Amino acid sequence: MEVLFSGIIKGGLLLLDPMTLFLIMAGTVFGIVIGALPGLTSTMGVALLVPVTFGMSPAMGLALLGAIYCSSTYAGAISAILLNIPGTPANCCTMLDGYPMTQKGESGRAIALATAASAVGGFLSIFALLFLAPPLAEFALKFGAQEYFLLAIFGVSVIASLSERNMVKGLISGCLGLFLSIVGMHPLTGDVRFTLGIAELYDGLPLVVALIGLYSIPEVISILESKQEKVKQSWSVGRGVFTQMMEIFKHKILLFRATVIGIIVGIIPGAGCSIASFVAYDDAKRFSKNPSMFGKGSPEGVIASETANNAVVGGSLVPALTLGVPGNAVSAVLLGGLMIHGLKPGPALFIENSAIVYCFILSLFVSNLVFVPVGLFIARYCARLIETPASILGPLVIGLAVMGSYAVNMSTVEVWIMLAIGMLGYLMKEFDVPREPLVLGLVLGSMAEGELARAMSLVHGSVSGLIHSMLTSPISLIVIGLTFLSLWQGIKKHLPS
Amino acid sequence: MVKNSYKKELGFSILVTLICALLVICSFSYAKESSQFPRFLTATMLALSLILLVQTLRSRPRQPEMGETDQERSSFWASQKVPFLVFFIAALYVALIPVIGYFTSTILFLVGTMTLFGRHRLFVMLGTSMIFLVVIYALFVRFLGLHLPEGMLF
Repeated sequence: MEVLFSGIIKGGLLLLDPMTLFLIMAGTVFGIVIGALPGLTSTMGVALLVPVTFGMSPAMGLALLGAIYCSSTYAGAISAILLNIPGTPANCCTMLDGYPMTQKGESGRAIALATAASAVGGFLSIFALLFLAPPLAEFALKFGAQEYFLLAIFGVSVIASLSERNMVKGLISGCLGLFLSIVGMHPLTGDVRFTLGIAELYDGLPLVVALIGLYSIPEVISILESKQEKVKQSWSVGRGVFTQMMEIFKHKILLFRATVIGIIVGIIPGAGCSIASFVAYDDAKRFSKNPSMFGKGSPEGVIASETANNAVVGGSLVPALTLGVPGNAVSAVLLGGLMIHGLKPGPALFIENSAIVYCFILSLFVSNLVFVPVGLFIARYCARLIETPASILGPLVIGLAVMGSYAVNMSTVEVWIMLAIGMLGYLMKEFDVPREPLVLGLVLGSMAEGELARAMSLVHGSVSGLIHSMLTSPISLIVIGLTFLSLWQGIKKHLPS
Repeated sequence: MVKNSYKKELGFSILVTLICALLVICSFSYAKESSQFPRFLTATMLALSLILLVQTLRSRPRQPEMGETDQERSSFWASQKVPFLVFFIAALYVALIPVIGYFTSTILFLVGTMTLFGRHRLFVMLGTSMIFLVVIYALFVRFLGLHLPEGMLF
């Protein structure tokens, strides 16, 4: 405890440097722009600025990168709410209720809720990083390949409750998502599968490209078909914003649960912000007094999703800093930034470089405070986009979708893939097939297949050996139990009463 | 109307079943170690699509058979006009990018699409397109160092 407090004091003194505070501000603005632009992810934003930190002191460089991570994870909610295009994959769950709120004329409220929930989720997860890092990291180490596989299956089981109208269509959509995620090379054998000879698909279907196509093109068709010259609403972000933000505290238990889910999912390597937000969303729906409102503009849906995905930030840094095992892709890039500055991740980091590490952790607190006003200010102008007539907004969204999918790998082939996925998304919308299960399958599929392959190789390819191994592991049994519970909750809704 | 919706659902169920059957066959063309998971998935999808087909057949309306009227047929095609135009124009735009360059094709795409969907004030269309391109240039080219396709023009 003494080491902790002396580290916090030393780190706090480093943080008070005006240049460090300026860099946190600059990183927050940059992160919000990156996060709000569809196609640009948090990972890309952090990776782009790692070389910029070479000339800085380690504390300043890490504060800058941390600010980008925090703010970009939040900012994806802005375009998810206003345009129904998630700025980053982490925010695809926010669209489910954020965009319906916009359609109802409540975009300002949705953004205020998302901002406040993101700040609370992020803030609490940094507390967890500060105080719970060592014991939580030890727990995550107990997860093996079979537990990760079961965790992915548990994530997929959420599909049952995401399919409101027709569960069979929802399950087909989820399986299609899982199938699309395995396009490309097998994680162990390296065999190339289902790529149709397209070299760009060897590494798999790019998630960002798929998300852009799936949600932007059908939405453009829908606004152009509606022939309404102005999409209803509001550039009311900023009016009564404080009261709207305070609304999240009416859902204290939801905030707490979503934060805990985000932190736990963040700690588990391989899982990420999108999984956390889907699990938290499902959990919020189960315990809500108005579950039928979910998907139709429920504030609870926005709060759950945004709290959880920002709570992943602190969680993902727990194994990254204490064990050198990144919780997700962004923390992996951050870890790279740490090592570039000569810091070696591990338990010793907190003793040998305590001032720098605690300065970094404290800078995340500051970033979570800074992105609230900055995010609301930027969102206020983004919200005006909605007032643009459909005949102008439609082509601009397609232009942005084309640019966003090109920016991922600087390849026009990926733009064609985006259009193809856009057509699939349109057909799904036309035939009333939910798109959310497909996204969930796409996010979890590669993790499920990779971990299954590893688990199978550990038991020499024996299916009975794998089942035996699962049934004798307490963690596996808990995850299996949770999966069945999740499936049953979904099926129960479709049974005649 | 009920009958139209039934036909649409039936067509969709048959199409999904055929695609899933094709995917099952394709999944057997890879080595066993690499295709266990795809085989499991495609077989599950095939089973689910058959359930969907049965569900659709069971929901067949009990009305007497009536031929599809010309009005119903034309309203279906009319409803497909916007999606067709959007995909056609977007495909044309993407195809033109490597040929005449990103900036030229984007101006053509934006002005063309806005005109097609009811905006006729040239000043507004050109102004919006220029602002869009300036933002893209500043953010993606200058700041992020992205290389955009140049083509014959720019």
